[in-house]
Amino acid sequence: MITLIMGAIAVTLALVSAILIVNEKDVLKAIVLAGVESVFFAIALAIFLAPDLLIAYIAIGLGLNSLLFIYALKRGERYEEE
Amino acid sequence: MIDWILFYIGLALTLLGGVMDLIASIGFFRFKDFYMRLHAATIGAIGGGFYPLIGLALIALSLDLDIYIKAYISGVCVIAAALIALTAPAGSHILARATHRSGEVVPKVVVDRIKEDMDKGDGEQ
Amino acid sequence: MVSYSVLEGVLPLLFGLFTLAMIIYSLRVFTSKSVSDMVLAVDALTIDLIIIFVLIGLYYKSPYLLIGVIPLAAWILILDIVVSRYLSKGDRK
Repeated sequence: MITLIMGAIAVTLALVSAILIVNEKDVLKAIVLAGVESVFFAIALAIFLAPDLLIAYIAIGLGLNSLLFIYALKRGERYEEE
Repeated sequence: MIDWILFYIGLALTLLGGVMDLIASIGFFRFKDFYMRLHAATIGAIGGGFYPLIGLALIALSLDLDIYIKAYISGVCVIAAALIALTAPAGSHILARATHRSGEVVPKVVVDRIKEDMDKGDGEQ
Repeated sequence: MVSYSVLEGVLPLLFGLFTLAMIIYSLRVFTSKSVSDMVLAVDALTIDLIIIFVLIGLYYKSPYLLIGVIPLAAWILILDIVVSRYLSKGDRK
């Protein structure tokens, strides 16, 4: 019961961060927020007893995603324009 | 007897860590500047991460589960605690240095000697 | 040997403490002004989530759920280094 409440809170925070990513004008902030969203989904996957999906989310969604996107951002513009 | 002592020491460490974590999270809102929030981040890293992991390792050693479950959980806790104690202060130090150098957050101070030296060109190497 | 039911009575209190800290940390992440502030809050949030992972592993008595703890602890330093390198390179150009 207590873990189900915690899973509901984690998925709600993931939804909030997904909405914030769409409206964000600073791309560096959006990359960091995408990592935070993956962490909250990893919490929900741990509560539903899926360790194989959890290690994929942490290795790809956190490590590889942030490294590749920030490396690509070095050759681009940081702030989006209207 | 020794397992009850281990259990209560671990429980006290974990409860202390939870309270310190709450204090650090409130401190992130109470401090005004980025450079002031580094103090709250230290409380959250060492008080809210290192102590509860050591406490949970002691708790897992004292339960009546199978031996491989206990050894796995407490070993992972000790390794994660060592990683946090080594990397969290270094990480926040690197971040503060890069923030001050790049001018992302300008500190509200009376005098800033590092900035004067960087303008003269002494602090570049 | 301490019986598991003793720990089972204390676990909801620990879950409540660390979940409350998680909510306040994530509010700080969502409402931050500059990117350094956000990365600093993400560090503290990740350390809080490591302890929640260990508590979930103790709740289900399953050691396989702890497979993500050590990569998560290593990600703190990686994110700090990558963002700091980006910030200092952006100044020099």
